[in-house]
Amino acid sequence: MASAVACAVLVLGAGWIYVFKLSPIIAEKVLIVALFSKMPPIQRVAIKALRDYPTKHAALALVVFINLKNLQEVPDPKTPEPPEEKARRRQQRARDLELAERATETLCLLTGHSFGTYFKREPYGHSWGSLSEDRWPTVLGSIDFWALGTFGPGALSLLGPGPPGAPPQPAAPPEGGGAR
Amino acid sequence: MKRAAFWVVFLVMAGAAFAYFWRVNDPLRNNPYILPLWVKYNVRMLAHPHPAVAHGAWLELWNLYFTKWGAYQLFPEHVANAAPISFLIERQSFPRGGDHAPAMEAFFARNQPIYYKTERVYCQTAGEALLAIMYREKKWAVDYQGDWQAWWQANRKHYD
Repeated sequence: MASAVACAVLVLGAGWIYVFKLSPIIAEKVLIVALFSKMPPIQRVAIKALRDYPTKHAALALVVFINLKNLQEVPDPKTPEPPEEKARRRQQRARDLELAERATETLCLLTGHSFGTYFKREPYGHSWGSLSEDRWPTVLGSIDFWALGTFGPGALSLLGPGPPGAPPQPAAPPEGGGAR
Repeated sequence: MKRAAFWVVFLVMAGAAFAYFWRVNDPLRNNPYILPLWVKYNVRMLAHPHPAVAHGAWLELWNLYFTKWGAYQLFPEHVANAAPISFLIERQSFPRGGDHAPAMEAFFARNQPIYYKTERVYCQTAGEALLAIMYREKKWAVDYQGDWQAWWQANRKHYD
């Protein structure tokens, strides 16, 4: 009896998912969870796969992910740091930059904006380009400005990746230098 | 054994016959009892978060609107639907193509998210997406001026 009920629930659930086309929504949510999984290989796969899910939640997740990378954070130069810790931090930073770069590329493909990067979409879906670290504050400012204008309170304004006239300036970096 | 074989053959043949008659008669678009449900389902799908799915529903509604009177009559029931859409609808201009083909500035859905780079977002709700299907330059008494509901209020008496 219990197995019959389980089968009926399974069939009804599958039918519900098929009729209301819920599989893209479920897949998108799974990819967003994978994006924040803290495992770089899984994050790389999720970032690439999110290109097929140009939804609002996917775009918001990418914006949050890029912001959480916090590449402008620099350690206090007065605090002594052991060499192993320094090497580990540098490795972590290179990995974060690479992930943020990939996420930015995906966001560019989803939104059609360049956000001040050199990413370009070629025919047949290929893309090329890179995002240097010194450009990062400007790119981050553009992404945040676009996200606020598009998903923020009020109507969908779609003003573009930056305010007209001048590119957005990020907040002043903490003492001790900028991104580098 | 014979009984099982009979049921297998019977079910296969019944399934094949059902599929054949479904394809030939296309009841989703032709049956007067199923068509309203199909329109309602596609209106609901307009609010699907994935733009490709919602875009497919919009194209199906576009097809129904211009080919089935049953669907044409059902559209006004859904124009107040305020569910947000996830795909982009853009305006496209067509030059005059002859005496019987006037210039047209129609709205067409794109398989892109609504936040994709564009000059202007014309439609944000499912009701507005339906009004974009219904809109035809020169057909209505008042042209679209940027507010879909105002346009509909000014033109609804001409809808028949």
